[in-house]
Amino acid sequence: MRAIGLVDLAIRRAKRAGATDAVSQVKETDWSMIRFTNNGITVSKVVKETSLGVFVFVKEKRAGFTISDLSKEAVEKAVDNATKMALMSPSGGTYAPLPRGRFGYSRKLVALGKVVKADKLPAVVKDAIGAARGAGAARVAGSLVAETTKLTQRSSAGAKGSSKTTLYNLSVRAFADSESTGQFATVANNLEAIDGRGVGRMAGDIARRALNAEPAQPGEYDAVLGPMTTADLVEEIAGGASAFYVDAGMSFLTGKLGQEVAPSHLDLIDDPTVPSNPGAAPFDDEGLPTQTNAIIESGKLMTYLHNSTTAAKMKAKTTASAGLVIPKPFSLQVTAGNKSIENLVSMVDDGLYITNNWYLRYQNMRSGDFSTILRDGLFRIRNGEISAPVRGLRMTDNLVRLLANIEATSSKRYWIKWWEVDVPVFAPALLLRGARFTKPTI
Amino acid sequence: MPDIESLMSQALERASKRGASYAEVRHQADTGTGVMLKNGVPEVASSIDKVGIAVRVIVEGSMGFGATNKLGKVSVLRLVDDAAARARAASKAVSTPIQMGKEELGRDKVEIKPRVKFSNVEFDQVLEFLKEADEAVVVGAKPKGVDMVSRVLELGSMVSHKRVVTSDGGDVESKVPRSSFYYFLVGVHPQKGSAQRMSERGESRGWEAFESWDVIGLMKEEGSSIGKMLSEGVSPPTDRLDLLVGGEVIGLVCHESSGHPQEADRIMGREAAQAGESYLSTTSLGMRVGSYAVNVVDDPTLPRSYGFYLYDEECVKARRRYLIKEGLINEFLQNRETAAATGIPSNGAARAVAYDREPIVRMANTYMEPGDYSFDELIGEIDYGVYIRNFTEWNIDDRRFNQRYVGLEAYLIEKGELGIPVRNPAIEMTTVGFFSSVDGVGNDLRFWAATCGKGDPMQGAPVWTGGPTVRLKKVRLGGASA
Repeated sequence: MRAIGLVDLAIRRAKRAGATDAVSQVKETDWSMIRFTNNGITVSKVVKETSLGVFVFVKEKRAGFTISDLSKEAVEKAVDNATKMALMSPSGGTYAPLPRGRFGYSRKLVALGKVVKADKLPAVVKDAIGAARGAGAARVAGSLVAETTKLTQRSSAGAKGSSKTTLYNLSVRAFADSESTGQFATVANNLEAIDGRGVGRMAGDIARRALNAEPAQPGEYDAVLGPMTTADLVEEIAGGASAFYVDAGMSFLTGKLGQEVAPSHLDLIDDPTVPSNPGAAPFDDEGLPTQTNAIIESGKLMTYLHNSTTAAKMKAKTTASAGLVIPKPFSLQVTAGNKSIENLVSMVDDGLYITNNWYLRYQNMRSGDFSTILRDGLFRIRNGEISAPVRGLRMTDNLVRLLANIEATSSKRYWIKWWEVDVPVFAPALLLRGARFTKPTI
Repeated sequence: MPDIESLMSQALERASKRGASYAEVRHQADTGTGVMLKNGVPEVASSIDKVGIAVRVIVEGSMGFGATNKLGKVSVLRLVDDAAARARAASKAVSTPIQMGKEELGRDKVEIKPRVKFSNVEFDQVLEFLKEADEAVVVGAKPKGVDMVSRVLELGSMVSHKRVVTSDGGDVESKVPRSSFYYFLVGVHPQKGSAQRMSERGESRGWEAFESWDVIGLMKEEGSSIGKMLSEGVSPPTDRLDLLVGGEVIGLVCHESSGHPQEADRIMGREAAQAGESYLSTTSLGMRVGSYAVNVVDDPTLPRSYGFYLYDEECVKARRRYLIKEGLINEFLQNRETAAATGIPSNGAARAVAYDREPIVRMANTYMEPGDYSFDELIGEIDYGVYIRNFTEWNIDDRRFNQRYVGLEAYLIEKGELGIPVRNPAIEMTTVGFFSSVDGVGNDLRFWAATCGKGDPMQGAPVWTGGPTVRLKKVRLGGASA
């Protein structure tokens, strides 16, 4: 059965079984990855799969499923089971009917997909490895992903849409020696925009400069965060703006709507409506046309990210950010400042330049207390200039505090997505005042 | 329904025709359900049924992996062709030709039967169970004036049915049920702020596992613990002291600081750009990283364990692995690829969490072996110290050397007895610093469940982490909370 037949079958069946609302989506994925290590390719992967996801509502009671067996019998059985589960759930939540209407979607957004030419991928990898080695790396590792996703979606409230998107994602980590490393990444909607040489050179250059690092001293420092670290923190902040986490009492942005949470120069925007933005999409999981959402505008927390249910519960308007359970951002960006990264560094007398981080975990998501490992090149800044490499620090701070202490952003931004950052982020470098760092006691 | 057995053997034949020196075909069906309760209200019930075929081939020393859920003959054979062609195309860019170690391969069937199938349990019984657990958290925290503002409880069940055949004779079918209970809690005290806790239970059993966990009692205890720590906890001491570390923290330390750095693929750089490498190298066997009291084991064969399996995804028989023995690095976790590269036989550590994921080196159930001390003996010898029973946060660097665990339930120890609660004590130590400070290991080994993240794309693997209570001598707590 074709995708359109499957989604229609699921909706009809759900309504007949007693659902008040239902939304159904067929996802067809053609995914390729090349992974490389020690200057060579370690595995070439290809995955071709089609799945059906259905979400049924019996008023406020909800159930969903995903299946990979797309036979008529399997679809009907899964729909019946899900509707039965929803019917049996106790009442008590909030019911918001799915957005009603046959929405129009941007033609440019529904047809972003291109055929992935897998045979062109090894050349990009070769360029990246070569450039990183040329910049001083002894060993280079990373991954290149090419993914085309076709969505066919229907809702019982009349929304009908289909889209095809393509995403390329390159991540390169360079090793000058086993502890002197640099990493950089990029993401784009077309292969031509993936600058393998540029990403490789950036990673290799950081790794070379990180050689002979001395142990760092813990304490409070001003810090310039490179785009990789900015992207990670921005993704965390946007995640904290998801109304699911706010409603659950799990977010550090709970109770801060309308408040100044950052300096007035800072905007954080989720914009899937521009075709060239990686992560661009024509509709959300409820079938609403996507929109530009300013999460933070001029430093003020303007909105949480909503689907219809969270919006109804919090007496707000949906932001077309469904996630049927957890609203989510598509494509994030921090507005550019007017300074170069060098200018940001020049504003620091005694501080740190952080090129990457990973393993961010919350001691307390509600308060925003977290720590994260500073990974790859880490440098002291002295008298406005990047100086000696250091190692061994952990940023141990509070996201609400850090957000308020962003003094400036760079004019240059980079599209970042890698293992640690799921949502594409157009990230500048940031100047943070008074960030806190710890290190092991033995 | 296609004839899967025939399809798998045709795929193997096709791989051989396409020049594969090694091929492996895996059919995997993962079927599961989950229920989430958010702050006492059912958020969503969900189910997943993920079925497909994966192939791995080595062509001219280059590895290709392909997966699809289109199980027609044409689709699967085309997938084999595609994986082989990609491997061949990449062969000139391979640094060292990939081989699979020559191992004794299994031809076997393994099935764990649940005593009570999840599908036989009425849905309203499941929800009732969760609602009772939710209420228990609230009740537990209330006497201390703490409001449990965030309570996310998730109950899940999954059955993994796999069959793996390899071109060199392996043929193993397995069917394992898994049950899990995850909880995330935040308590707020009007004057003392908030505290967070998350943990997981999991076993390779059916519904009977949930019934054996005393979830209601556990939730009441968690609520009570958060209430006590928030309302009464004082700042941790900063001077040198003896540290008593609970089994839950020790299990995590063993997982993060012994299991991960001893994965041979990490050591050889295969995860370098993602989860990272290791502070160890291939020549580190025999290296001292801890005191004589430290013995760390990873064992997939533990009955009922969350990380249970008897054969890995390369048909190698699973066995107990001694990772650290009397403080010395004793063994790495190996799959057949790392075995061929290092000349050390595989110890059956290849796992894949779904049909569309490649098998990579993973832990199963990692724990510190118990010692002879009772809890009373361990604490009785401490004149001044802190006991950290469980944790709220942790992380570790990508070489698995610089780690941090922030305690939730913790107490001062004075003259061999537990004293006042201590809030947010942070263990921030190096791996060798931590293991080398161990001077006493308790006899109270227990296990906790976790979902271990590794791979690209990510593979969340079910594991147990375990440990007894352990004493560290003369250490300093670090990184005070922000």
